[in-house]
Amino acid sequence: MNIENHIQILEEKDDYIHDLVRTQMDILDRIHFLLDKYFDGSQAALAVKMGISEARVSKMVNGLQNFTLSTLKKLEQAFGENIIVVPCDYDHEDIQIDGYISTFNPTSLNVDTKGEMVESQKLIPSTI
Amino acid sequence: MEITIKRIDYLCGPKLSVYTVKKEGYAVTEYELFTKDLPVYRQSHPDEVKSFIDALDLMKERGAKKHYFKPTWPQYLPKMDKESIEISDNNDYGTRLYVIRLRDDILILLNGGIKTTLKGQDCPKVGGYFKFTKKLEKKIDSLLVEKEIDINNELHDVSIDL
Repeated sequence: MNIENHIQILEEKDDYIHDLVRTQMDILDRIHFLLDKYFDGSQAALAVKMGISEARVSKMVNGLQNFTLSTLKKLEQAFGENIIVVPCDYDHEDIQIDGYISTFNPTSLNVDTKGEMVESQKLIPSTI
Repeated sequence: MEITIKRIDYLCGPKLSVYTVKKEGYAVTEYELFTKDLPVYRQSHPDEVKSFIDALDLMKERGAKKHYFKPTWPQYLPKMDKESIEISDNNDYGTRLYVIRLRDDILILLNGGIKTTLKGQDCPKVGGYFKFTKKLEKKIDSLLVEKEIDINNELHDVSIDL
């Protein structure tokens, strides 16, 4: 099967587009994980909670798209849980977030003698 | 018209099998016809084209999950927001690659192009593909209900009388 043009475009590296699409998929996966967790996957139930139409919810939670902060915030309010987390420990810029949610490895942070994270190095999840 | 399903090995991955179809009397498949014009679509819609090519690549490892697609009928790639589309004039509604998503792990790519009217069925460029996709999807659905097609089995070279 000759799909040479497809292969050629795929092989041309464009980290921006690739990362953008991957992040859009990550956010959609996270939204649907939370939708299942809190609303049994029901977009109708989410619509009731948000006080908007089911059609509008469907547009918000389906399809690769450039989510606005406003949309994500509204969904977070409805779920009562973060969709994405922003690292805000400005004193420790070397802290790495592994993944799109707060799955950072605490062992990479300094701990005191009791095994607890040093206060100044705690990662503060920021709502968006 | 007889339609034969063809597997696109290059686009398949651990979580996704990708197919296209070949119409009776045609030398190549629908997706090959679409890709022939990809350089043209890319000239006016570079980000859109790159994004759906990358999306298909990412789906190899993640599957063609339902929520990756806008809930339209027929379904298509890419879904980009209006501000992301490089609109060159009022008659440009972005690129469409019509698809049939049978399951998270089964996707059929068909044909498409640049949509020039608000309603897909009215577009002189993609209207035919829009209608063909709906007709084929309806037929496949009925064959699944009648158990004449089993999507748990390999679909390559399965023929459908459309």
